[in-house]
Amino acid sequence: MRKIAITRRQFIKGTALAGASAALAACATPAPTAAPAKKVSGKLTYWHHYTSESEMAGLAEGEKMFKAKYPDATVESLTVPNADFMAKFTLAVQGGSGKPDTTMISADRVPDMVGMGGIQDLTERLKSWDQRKNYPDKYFDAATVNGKIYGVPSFMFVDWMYYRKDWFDEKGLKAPTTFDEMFDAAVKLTDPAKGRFGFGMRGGAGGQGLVVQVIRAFGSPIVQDGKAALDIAKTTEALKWYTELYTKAKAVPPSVTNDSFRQILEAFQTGKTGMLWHHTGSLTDVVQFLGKDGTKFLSLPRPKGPATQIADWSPSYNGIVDKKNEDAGWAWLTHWADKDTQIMLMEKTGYVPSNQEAAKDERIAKNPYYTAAFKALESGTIAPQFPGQPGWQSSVVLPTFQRILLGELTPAAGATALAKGLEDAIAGKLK
Amino acid sequence: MAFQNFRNSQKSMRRLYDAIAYVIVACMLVFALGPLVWTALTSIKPESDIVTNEMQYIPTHPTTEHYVKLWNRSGVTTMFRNSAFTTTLTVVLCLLVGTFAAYSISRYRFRGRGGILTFYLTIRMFPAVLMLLPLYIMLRNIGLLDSLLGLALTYTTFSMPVSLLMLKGFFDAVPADLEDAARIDGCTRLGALFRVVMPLARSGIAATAVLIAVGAWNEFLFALMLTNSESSRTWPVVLQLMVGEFQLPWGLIAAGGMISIVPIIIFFAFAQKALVRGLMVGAVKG
Repeated sequence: MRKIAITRRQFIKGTALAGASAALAACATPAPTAAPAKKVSGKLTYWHHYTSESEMAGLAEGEKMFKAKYPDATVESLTVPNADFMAKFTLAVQGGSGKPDTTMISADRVPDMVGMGGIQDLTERLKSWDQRKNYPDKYFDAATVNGKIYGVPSFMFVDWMYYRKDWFDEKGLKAPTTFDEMFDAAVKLTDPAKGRFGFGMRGGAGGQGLVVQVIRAFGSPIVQDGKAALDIAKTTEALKWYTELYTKAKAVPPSVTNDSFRQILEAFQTGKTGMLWHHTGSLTDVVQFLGKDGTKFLSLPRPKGPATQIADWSPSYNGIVDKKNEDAGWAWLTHWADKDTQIMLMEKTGYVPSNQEAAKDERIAKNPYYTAAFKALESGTIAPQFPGQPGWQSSVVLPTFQRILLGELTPAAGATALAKGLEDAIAGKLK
Repeated sequence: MAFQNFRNSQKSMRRLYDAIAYVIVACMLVFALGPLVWTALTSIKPESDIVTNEMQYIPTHPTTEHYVKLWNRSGVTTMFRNSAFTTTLTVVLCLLVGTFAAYSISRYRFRGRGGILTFYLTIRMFPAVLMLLPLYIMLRNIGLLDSLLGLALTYTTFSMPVSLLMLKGFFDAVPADLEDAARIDGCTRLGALFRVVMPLARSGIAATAVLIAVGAWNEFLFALMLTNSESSRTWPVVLQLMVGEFQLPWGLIAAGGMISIVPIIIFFAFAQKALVRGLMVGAVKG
């Protein structure tokens, strides 16, 4: 038998080579795969801002469905109130500990969360994701920063309107599809003797977004090429039409300047108002009071303005925070992007699926409320965003709108004030 | 006769003043108790009585459904227990450290005595939110992030300055001569503190404990920011989480509010006894 002789030099060379190979193998990161990891195990943490009973029921059911797919995985979800979300997220990212593996992401927070290095780039995974075909590119726009995508849409908030079908039937009116029809219906439904008003206008906190939507529906741009582009004539017309629902037609409750979301919702629920503009997020709350058999109320896409129909939508994304558990995180994200999970969530909460396959499902197609949401989604778009927008809307648009409602300003003067405020806001000079 | 008329007019004037006083007291009571009564009524109203076209003051069908629903929510009992634990620990820590510290500052004259008090008070001058990141990092480094002990230590940090100042004031009010007499009788310094000063300052210590307990029981910001799991969250976080973005379950929130004030009322009832007893002991000895 031949002896194999290894010299000391050969041994050192061999050991070095093997060590280097092992080190290289350890350093090389496998390319992220789009398919969910087949075996997901261990604990996965998820931060979200679901709080209501229906949302929590949807989340619990979603977790149960995930557990059925991945029995070895345990999801630990944590509710963080929306208002405090960014503070807590920033603390966890900057504090370097206590970060979740995955998180819910509001569309308007994506740039900040990317800026602090809080969420992971999903572009590569999305390229080969089998469900990608069910998601139009525009759904990812708000989650894209510098060409990289950071979130997968899990559901959408879609702007729409509710109307009291029984009141409309009583008066022999058809559901409004244009602003003119809506104005006319609001006037006809108003009956002070019965304590009824045609429209629940949001003239208090949060009403500013609706004013801007009306202006856009009258054909005025807001910002073009980063510059203020408000058309004074069209804005005047828009403000005139919208405020006259109250100032002239008296088809709006007199508390209008104090009415924020709670007030307009409760007025609709308790039979004070006949029409309400909001988004799909409030469906469960309306159903709770007015039933879901379609006899008392129905939902509709927002009526078309003189120039165009404005129906904004806003996606809610899920993203990966901690790279350490990336594969499990991706499994969680794709689980919430799945058609069945999204339909389940819609049934529990009324939140509209972002997966277009869901629209074809008979659970959706046969439900009149849900089909209205999908119609609105088809024609809608994401609301324009620009620097200074929150400040302009809350400190210029809302007070100006309220002053017109109170008769302190004319719509024309209001339009001029909005244009001036917009220029200041974009220039960063807003006081 | 004239004297009789004078007496009668004096009596009727007194009755008028009494009536005015009762009206004022009744108004104050309505103002103080009104929100509490309203919350209690809301907590036993069915949802259909809460959101109505016309105000329903008295529930038509009183119900305990909100209490049952709240108590059956997952994690609620744990969070209630967590709050009780952190509050108790905070009170104990604050009183333990605060009593010795306040006594030292009250009785000893040493360099930097005033500076220490000022230093403690400066902690209160910063908004709590500014302290969040350093606190977060410190707790993480000592492994107390997301723990009840970490939360109690944080509350202690923020409650200590006020409790120190209050306790010092109460100790200052106890005559040093009584302590001297005890020491002449053979008491040590600590013995005089426990046997003479603390019984006399019991009312003040009780008042301080109530203040610390109320603060710790209701604290929300740190409870939310310094915990990362449901198992270490406290009661105020539960209450806040009931306020949904698009739904507001008034009945549930009212039931939560009622439950959250019960421990404070019980604690205050006990502390009130101590307050009275402390005053009486002080009066007899003084």
